[in-house]
Amino acid sequence: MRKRLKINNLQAFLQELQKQATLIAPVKTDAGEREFRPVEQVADIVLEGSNPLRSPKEYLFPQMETLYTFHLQKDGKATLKETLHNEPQIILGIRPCDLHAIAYVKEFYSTTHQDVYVLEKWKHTILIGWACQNPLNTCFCTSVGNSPVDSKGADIMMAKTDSFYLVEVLTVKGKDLIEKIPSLLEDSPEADNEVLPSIQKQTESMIREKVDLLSIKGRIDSAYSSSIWKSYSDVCIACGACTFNCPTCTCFDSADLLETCQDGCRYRTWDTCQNYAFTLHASGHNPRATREARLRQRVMHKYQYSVEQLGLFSCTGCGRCTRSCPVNIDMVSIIKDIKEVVDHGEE
Amino acid sequence: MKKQIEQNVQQLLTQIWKPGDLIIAWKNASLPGHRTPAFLYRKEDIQDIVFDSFCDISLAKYLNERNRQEILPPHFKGKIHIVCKPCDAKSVMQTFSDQQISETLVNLIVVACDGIIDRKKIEKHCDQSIVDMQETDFQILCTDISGKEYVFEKRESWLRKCEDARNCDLPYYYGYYFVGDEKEYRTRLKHRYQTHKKLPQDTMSPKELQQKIHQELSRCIRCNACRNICPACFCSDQCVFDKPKERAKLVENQVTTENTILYHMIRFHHIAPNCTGCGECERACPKDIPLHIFFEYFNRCMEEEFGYKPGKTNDERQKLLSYNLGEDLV
Amino acid sequence: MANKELIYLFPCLAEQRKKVLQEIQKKYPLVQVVPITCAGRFNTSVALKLIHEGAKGVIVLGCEPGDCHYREGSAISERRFLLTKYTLKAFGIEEDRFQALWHKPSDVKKTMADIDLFIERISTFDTKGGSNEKAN
Repeated sequence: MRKRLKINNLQAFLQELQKQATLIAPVKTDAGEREFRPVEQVADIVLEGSNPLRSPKEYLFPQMETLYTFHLQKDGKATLKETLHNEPQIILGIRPCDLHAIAYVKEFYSTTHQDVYVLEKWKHTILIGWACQNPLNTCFCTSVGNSPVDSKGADIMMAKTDSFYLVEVLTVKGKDLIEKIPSLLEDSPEADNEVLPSIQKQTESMIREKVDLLSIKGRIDSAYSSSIWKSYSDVCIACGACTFNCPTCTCFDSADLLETCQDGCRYRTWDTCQNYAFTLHASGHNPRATREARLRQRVMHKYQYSVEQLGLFSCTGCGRCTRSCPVNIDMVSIIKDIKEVVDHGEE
Repeated sequence: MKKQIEQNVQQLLTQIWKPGDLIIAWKNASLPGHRTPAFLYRKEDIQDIVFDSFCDISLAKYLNERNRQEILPPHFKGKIHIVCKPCDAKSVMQTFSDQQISETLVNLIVVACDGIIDRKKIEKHCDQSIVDMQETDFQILCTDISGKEYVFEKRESWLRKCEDARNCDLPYYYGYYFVGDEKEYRTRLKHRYQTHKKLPQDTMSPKELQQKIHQELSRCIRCNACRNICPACFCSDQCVFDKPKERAKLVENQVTTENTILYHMIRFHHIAPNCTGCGECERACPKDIPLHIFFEYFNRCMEEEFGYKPGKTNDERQKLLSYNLGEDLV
Repeated sequence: MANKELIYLFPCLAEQRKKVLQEIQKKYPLVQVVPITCAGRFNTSVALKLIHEGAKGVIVLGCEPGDCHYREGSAISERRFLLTKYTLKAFGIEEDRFQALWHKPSDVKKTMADIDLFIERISTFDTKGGSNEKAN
């Protein structure tokens, strides 16, 4: 179902959305950056501009989350209380790269292991995509087979043109939402078929480089013992900036926190594979003791292991790792080197 | 001027380089305005070395013991030639006095620097993402993705540390090569602005300060970039924050603002005696948290209270770790 | 996690200090005594953690520099304690919440007088609040 929204009606449309559920959208913060935040004033929302550094993943899989609380009763028995957050929420303005990422995270947490915390949140979330017209110089979504207008994973997709907003309803969840908002949307003529392809063409022309990774999908592990990893891991300082900003990183660490002798909670926080202690065994042995092994693990997981597990690249080409790297390691040059090695072998 | 220095560095290195040596310098990365550390083992590679106003990364970090283990090939017998700005040279001095590396292993090459550009500052002023960034003598020329051109004055876009000439003085150490005119560099330094800036600790009441810190650090994602890039942090895998066998956990893994404040409090408390004020933590922070309000304050304390400036010489024992009976306490 | 309203006292375990500690515990039930081997061995990060999480104050009780059983032990810590005070100040917390007292272990009168003074001074400070923010 395809609809049109007049430019003047956008504010009213957003207000209607806000009435339905908690609205999360890119908002300008005090620090001058745009970030996905629960919206207080609809006027604060800034949909255009570069993609925020922090991805909307954290509203499905937050950096820190309490799993359950426990309480020791006087008779010596313990009670557990699960803390599920499943208030309805609408996330607005998600770029196709982040839509893919959320689809991946959901897929990851529903195949090998059913994670109720993520899945419950996903069930109560409506994802509204936004066709990307402001790529950054770090972006490379076309390299991993995405496109700036791809609507995979979205319930509703929006795109901006000069005279109106295109609203494409893709799922039942999205349809239910739109039906609650009458009168603002108009029917869209046949000619609107051309809107998304033209945005795609324009945006793709701005993306700096395309490394065709699809042609070597599934064969990337042949670069495992290559020397390219060393040249990047020398530079790498093994912080976690890339993993903590990545929209598809799913690793976490859980721990118990005792508040008193009777009460406590189990929580989980994001963990990073770049940390030395990530794979450290209790015996003192560390299978990934070098940075080379850790950097390779991260890259290989994105392009090879996730393909083996789920058939998907778990890199969506958003470029956040390059953006946040303190020593300017560029993911595009890594995948360029990988392709070179896989295609032509080591020199 | 920097072009000339770049050539001189390359020339010097071709003269002093011997087979088996390692050169640590900067090279171009693929994005505009990005320079990345280069580790060179071959003579042909020396021509890749770059030095310009975008070389913001401090290379001193790569000298400390744990990093060296990762980088150096097994049975490395040669020397390490490291190219440094004067501010990084201080971090190298601190690495020496922390006994992270023996001085005999290192050839220090200090380049005359007249300031480094804060790339983030420039990117903030552009509407769209930058595809080209060039420098002239006084200006930075940028082109964004839509073809729009921008001109920035260099003197308005320095990194914060470059505005204070105290960060630019040369260490008391006679084992370095200086590329550029050292006499001219020293006189230029004398005429520059040398004073501590006003910090929030001076102007705000404790309550306001607490609020400000709470507000700034609430953005922190605990990615540890500030810790891992810090040339003074050398504990590496044995850090108190992620040492798994630490019996009492100092900071819980829970990412709350309170825990984050404690994390930064303990981190700065630990590095204060070694901190040379290189500003790498602030530059590395992906969330642009103004960490200078802490390290500049500690730098000043160390200087005023202990009369001690980290990184001034190569053999000063850290004041807070050593004491000889009969010595004055402060 | 630090108990709010408490004052933590870290005395070095010199033999003659037992009398002082007994007296302190009698007079101030809110003072929590945590004995350590030497004041030079005190990990100042712990003081920061306690104060940050809401403890009212932290006192370290050590022998006079030079008088220490471990020779320069307490002297090195004297420098570190100064830095600890600056750290508190840098983060907007009253520096007086942390205090190191250097007394001869047998000098009960002087030690008690100084602890009285310390408790009087920090009684004017309100509780910092500490980690109100719980996991959600």
